[in-house]
Amino acid sequence: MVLGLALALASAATCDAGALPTETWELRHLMALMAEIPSTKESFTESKSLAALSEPLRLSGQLSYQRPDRLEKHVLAPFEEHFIVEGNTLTLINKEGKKRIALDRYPVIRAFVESIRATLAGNGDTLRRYYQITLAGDRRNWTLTLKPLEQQMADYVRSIELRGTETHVTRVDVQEAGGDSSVMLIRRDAS
Amino acid sequence: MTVMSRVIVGVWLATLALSGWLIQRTPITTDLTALLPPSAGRVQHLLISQLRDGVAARLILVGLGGAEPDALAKASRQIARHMQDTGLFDYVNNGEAGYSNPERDMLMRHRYVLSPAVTADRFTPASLRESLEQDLRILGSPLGAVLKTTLPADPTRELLQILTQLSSDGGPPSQHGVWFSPDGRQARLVAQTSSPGFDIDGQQRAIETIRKAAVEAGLPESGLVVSGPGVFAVESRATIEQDSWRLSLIAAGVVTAILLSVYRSSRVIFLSLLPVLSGLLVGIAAVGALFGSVHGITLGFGATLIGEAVDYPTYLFTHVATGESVRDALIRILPTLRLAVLTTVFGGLAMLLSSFTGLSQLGMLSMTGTLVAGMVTRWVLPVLAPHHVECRSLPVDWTRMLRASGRGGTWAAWTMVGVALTVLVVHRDNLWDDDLANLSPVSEEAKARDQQLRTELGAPDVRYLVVVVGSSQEDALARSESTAGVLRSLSDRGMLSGFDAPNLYLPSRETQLKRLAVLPDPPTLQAALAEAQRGLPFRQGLFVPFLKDVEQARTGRGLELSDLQGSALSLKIHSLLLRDGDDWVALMPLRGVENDTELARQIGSTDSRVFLLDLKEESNRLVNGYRHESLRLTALGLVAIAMVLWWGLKSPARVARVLSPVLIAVLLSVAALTLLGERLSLFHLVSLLLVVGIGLNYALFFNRDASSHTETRRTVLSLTVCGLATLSAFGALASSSTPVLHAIGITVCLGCVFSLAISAMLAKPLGAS
Repeated sequence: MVLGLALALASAATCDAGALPTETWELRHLMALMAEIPSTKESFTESKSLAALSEPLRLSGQLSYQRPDRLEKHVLAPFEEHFIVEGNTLTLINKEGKKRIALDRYPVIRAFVESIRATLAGNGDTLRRYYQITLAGDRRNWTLTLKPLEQQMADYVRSIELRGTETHVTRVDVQEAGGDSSVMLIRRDAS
Repeated sequence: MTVMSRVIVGVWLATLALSGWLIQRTPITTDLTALLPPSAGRVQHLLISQLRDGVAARLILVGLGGAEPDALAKASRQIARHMQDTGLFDYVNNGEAGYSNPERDMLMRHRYVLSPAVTADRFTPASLRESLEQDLRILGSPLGAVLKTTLPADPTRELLQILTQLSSDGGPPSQHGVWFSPDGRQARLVAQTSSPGFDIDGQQRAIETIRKAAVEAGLPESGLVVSGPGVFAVESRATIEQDSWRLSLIAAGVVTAILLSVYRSSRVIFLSLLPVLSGLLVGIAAVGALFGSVHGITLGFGATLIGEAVDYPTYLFTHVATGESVRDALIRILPTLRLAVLTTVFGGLAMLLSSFTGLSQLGMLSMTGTLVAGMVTRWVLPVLAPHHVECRSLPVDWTRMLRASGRGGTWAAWTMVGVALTVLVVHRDNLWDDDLANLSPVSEEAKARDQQLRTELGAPDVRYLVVVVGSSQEDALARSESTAGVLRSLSDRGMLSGFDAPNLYLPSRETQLKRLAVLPDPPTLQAALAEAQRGLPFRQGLFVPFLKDVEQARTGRGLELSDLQGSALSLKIHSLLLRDGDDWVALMPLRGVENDTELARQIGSTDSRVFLLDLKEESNRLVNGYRHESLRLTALGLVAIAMVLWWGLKSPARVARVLSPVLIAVLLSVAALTLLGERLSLFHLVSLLLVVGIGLNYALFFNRDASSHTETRRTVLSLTVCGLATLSAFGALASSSTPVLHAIGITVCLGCVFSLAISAMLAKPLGAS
């Protein structure tokens, strides 16, 4: 019985392997893959280790993306904050009210935003415009490492590493200048 | 040569030498205060100082294109560095650093007196808690990276409050770390020159530096766009100079050809130049001696007015009968020539007596110049002239019909006057052109591009300022603060997009003390902070710098003007806060003004010592004041001329016959200009003065005693040659595309033609058959 199950699994795996192309895993493959998703809606937990804090700052909430360029980060705990990026505008809604920022005037913020948004959009051109890109792994487990090209961005962000499986970004690691870092774990909502 | 001749030539040469020496020691000024009436008020003086030294006049806006964005960004960085290194610019900003670090440090150091958020309850535990919670939120967001560095010293984010107050929305968009246009195709830079806006040479040097830097950075020539008041001034000057040179050469060529065909002797032509050149030289020296300097406007206008003196040698040489010596010819025409010179001299006397320096200098130059030219013609030319002067005689006497028109001619003349008057009455509202901008040779396209660059870069309008007057520096700053509040609310209503004010960089002492009083002493602050921090994950001891800084501010003396010394902020505030006699004036340049009349009303109503200054309108008003004074003096001058004529001609009827053609010609010229669609400016007015001068000469000669038919023919020849020469010279000017040169050219041409025609028609020389 167990042997049968194992055989079935093995054959299934072999079948899958047979279906996969045998070329090397490149950025354009990842981008093509991501470009197929119309939208995502996921939960995240973020842990930020900052020199200024005595313990990591833990946030959780929802992250959603809608083609072509809308990214929303809704922080639910420990406080409520809503970031909406659409096109060139970042809208920030919190206790103090609503604030709008043009992304092209604040290169630092753009560094953070585009790393996730352009990846989810499958927009290789944008990624190449702002970052030096290294892709490792394969379709099942890939690691995309981004290093900002512009000095103004690089002054604040050392590198951003996105990890994922197929079309699902599972983890975002940000290394900031000065030693601070943050890790965001993204869980696909069951819906 | 006789002894007398030698003496004459000797005196003349000595005078020229003395004049040359004096001129070499005389400075030429371009100070616009020469255009001011002596009773100029504060507004006019402010206008002049703003036009001259104002910040807006010194800003050069630069666009870089013609390459890929990343190449442009690299070029932008290189060019900015190059420009900074030359030292010709107070600052250069291409977006690389928002505020350069010394300025940020200064704002940070004095943040507790500068920040508008430092109010009574700012440092209570509850308020601190709120600030810290917000800090935490920001740290958790993408914006956190920017907050990290200032957090330990500035948890209440005063620096952010200050920067928000100072800039509108972060400046132009940036790509690759430097400013770009919204469509991403051109990089953008803004620079402030060290030399004032009206130092055209200095502006030119600065612009050349930018061009050179752009070429070195590898950009094509077409890729560089520079704009701003200084740029326009340099371009205008270049266009006018180019045109002037070209047209002067053409005019000189044609006139020389005409004279050659008449005299057939180059020596005579050379001699013809001597009176006018002597007149110019001595005239300028006299102005310099009397006033201590010569104004650029005087030189420009004076050269025009002296055009009359070019005719004097012509009158002399063309009247030489065959076999007659030049001296004898001179004796014959002397009465008329003398009157011609004296009328111009007395006409200029009225201007000399004006209280406007500019007009006064013009009067002096015109008087002295024509007098000297006349004297050189009278005494020096006969000595230097060849023994025989052969003139071609006129093939056709074109004036015969006009001169013989008698009654019919008079009626025709008066009919034309009637028509002209009707035209003028119909167009009376459109007669004068009050807008100086129409005189500028800068194209509409360039002006539109400037406006676009200005809006993109957030550079201040060149036009609108709010002026606040105070009895002391403190008073001016305090009023500036309350006006800033008004402007902020008006900005919310959309009347303007933003403004700059001195109190943003240096709050009034009263405001500073109020803010410092709010700062708690160390124990209180420590306790409040501890309470606020409870439960929040901030590291222990993180905010020690904050406690230190607050204490330093609290026990300090606040911010004084001298503290800003040596930074770009010092430049800023010196351009916004000025001394004016016993008063202090705060200037608030406005950006993006939408409705200026409504704005003026709103601002003026709050406080009588606060008002909106529209530089463009005030400039126009200034020049128009100058123009009114000129008109007034011209009228007085005409009275003086009439008196001189009466003394010379001895009969009122003859005076009328000489003066009326001139006045009629002026009237007809003005009517013709109006019909041609030209609106009259100051330059038309000065040209009309020249028309009066040469017209009087024509009338005097037409009305000369005609002892014989051949003499009359000689007179007609001289008038024809003068007329042709004037028409060629000023006709060339009229063909220019530069509004100023065109105005002068066409006015004089029309005036010359009408003067000749009407003088001929109305003339009744004594003894005419």
